[in-house]
Amino acid sequence: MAHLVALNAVWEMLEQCAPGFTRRASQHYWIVSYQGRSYRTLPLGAHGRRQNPDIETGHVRALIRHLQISRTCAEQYLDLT
Amino acid sequence: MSSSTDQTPAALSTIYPFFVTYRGTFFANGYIVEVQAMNGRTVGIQEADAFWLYGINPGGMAAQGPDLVRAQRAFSETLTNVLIDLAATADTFDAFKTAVGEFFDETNTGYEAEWHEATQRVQRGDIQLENMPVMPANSPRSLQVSLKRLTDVTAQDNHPNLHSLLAA
Repeated sequence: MAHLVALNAVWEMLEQCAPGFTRRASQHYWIVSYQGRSYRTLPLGAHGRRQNPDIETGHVRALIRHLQISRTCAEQYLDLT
Repeated sequence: MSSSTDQTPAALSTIYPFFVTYRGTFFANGYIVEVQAMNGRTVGIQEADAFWLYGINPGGMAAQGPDLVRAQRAFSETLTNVLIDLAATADTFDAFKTAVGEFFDETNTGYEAEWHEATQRVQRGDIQLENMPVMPANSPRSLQVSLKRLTDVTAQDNHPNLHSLLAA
């Protein structure tokens, strides 16, 4: 069973823990950029660009490591287990 | 910003250090291009929900599956999708080549220490995978992005392929 978090909760975490981050939707994924780095495979959602799809936490773990975001900060907003 | 000490180790499950080699052909904006990447790096971790492959080079991606084989398949598909996204936004071959180079060179440093530690466990024989060859951890990474003529395209090009090796 996949561990999931709501996409809107990811955006809230990024607003608090990665101020100034940018996001844009590509054909396949959300691309999230912060301080010169980009995470390119944040899912759009199971059915494309849904408003607030559930996201597998593995993507969020990879994102925060790649963008060098504090895990302590991220865990204030998301359950990353 | 965090330091590496701020990251909780993936901890108790086995961490596998992989090299990945990928080849794919893409239709881009007015040209056909082949991407061959050798010795990219990933870490494989059996998390609570799935087997995850986290990219180190390229760093900005991850994929998962219920087991290693299906995670590798998902990683190949995900990498292909990223390259299609890059092709979609690159108006010229040079722009695509630059974008692909930057993508592969962007290292996910958050997983590097675990990758290196895991290579030492492979060296000691603590980690083995049946039917997966082992390759020296200092093997160089390389990337080739080249134009392809229509006459050189074959039916084989319909399916990108990705191979993994254990790093030691």
